[in-house]
Amino acid sequence: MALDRDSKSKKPFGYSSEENRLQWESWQSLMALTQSGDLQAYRRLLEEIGPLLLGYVRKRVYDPDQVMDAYQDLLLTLHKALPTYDPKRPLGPWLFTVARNSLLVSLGRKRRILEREVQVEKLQDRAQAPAAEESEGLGDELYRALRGLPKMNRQAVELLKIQGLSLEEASRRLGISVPALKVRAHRGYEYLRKSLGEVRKK
Amino acid sequence: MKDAARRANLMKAHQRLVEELVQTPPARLRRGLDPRVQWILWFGLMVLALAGLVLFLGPRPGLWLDIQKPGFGIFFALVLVGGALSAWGAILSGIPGRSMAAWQKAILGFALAGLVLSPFVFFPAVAPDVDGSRLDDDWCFPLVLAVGFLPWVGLGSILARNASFRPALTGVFSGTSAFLMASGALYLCCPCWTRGHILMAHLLPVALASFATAFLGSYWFSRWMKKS
Repeated sequence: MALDRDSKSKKPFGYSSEENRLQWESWQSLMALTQSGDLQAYRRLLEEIGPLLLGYVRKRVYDPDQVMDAYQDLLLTLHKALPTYDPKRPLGPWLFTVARNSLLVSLGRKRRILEREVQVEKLQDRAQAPAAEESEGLGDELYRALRGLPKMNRQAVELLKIQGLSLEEASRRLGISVPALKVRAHRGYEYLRKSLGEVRKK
Repeated sequence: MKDAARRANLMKAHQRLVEELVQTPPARLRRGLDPRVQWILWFGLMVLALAGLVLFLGPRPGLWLDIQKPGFGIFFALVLVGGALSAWGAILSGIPGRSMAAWQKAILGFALAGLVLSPFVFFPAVAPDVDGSRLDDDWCFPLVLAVGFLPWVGLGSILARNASFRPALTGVFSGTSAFLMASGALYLCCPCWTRGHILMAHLLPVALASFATAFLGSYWFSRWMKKS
């Protein structure tokens, strides 16, 4: 399957209107088959609408690094919302409502996570600024706080912030999805922020 | 070069995700209840339950004669229309790509506005034949909240299976519907049909509960997005 936007074979807007209509009808029947439990039809559907959805995401998300996350979130949301689709109705309005809202949720979440990540980085910067002995003390505290994290959160933070892996690489290494990894890492940052905040107060 | 690597990563990640998604048990992909079935199910059960409640509490003395008077009858009809259309709005707000038709929105708006205005037009400020010392009147406010809560939970458990992208709106619609219907049922039992009482003890709790269900709904009806 080609997720490439330039791929002509799966580009729905490259067809004439009649072909376009037939394409949408075929997806509608694939949706109906999926709802009746045909997983092969589901696989085909995901393969075929992938380029359309990716194109939709690319048009609206300018940061190439965020495209994959937003696209994955979109497929997951579509998967969860699938039981609400009525095969007797046109697929387009349902699909694009899911896509638009998923994108809004996904970008909003990303923005909140980034804001929190900046706060942790600021804390670390502030920790480096004071005198050497204080800095060493905080380094120990950071190490201790990291050790105090539950295993799954610690792994996520270590892979992303210490080893510097990308989200995709880290999620592959842990065998979990990118959104699940983000949640684990986010909880880890929250805990660290709280622990380091207490150290600074002391 | 970087683009090519990014594209290759995208394709790999897409394939992995598709593989994960097609492992889902087919039952989880099955179509949910049709919106009309959801509405009939909830509204039917609700009407039966509230009719039972009216019989249990005992209808207001002389109800049959009073309800035939235009103002009192219109008020009750507005309650039913408002409750029914709010439930429909709540259900449709959880189905992507669906929303209420313009005429349905107009009727709902008209019904809700009519409910607030009709006590000023049809209900007397003081009813001479009502014994103001009756304790029953004081119970209307908390009873509307208490009686409306269970139907709201019932409606909510249907709505939570949908996929609402505007959970607060779903919450407001569902709260308005459930508490309005509860208020309507208690209206049939209430001995005090005066302007102030209807506004403060029957409609105010509906407004407050709808406000509260917007908050509760924004949590409850967005949980489907967080499911693994």
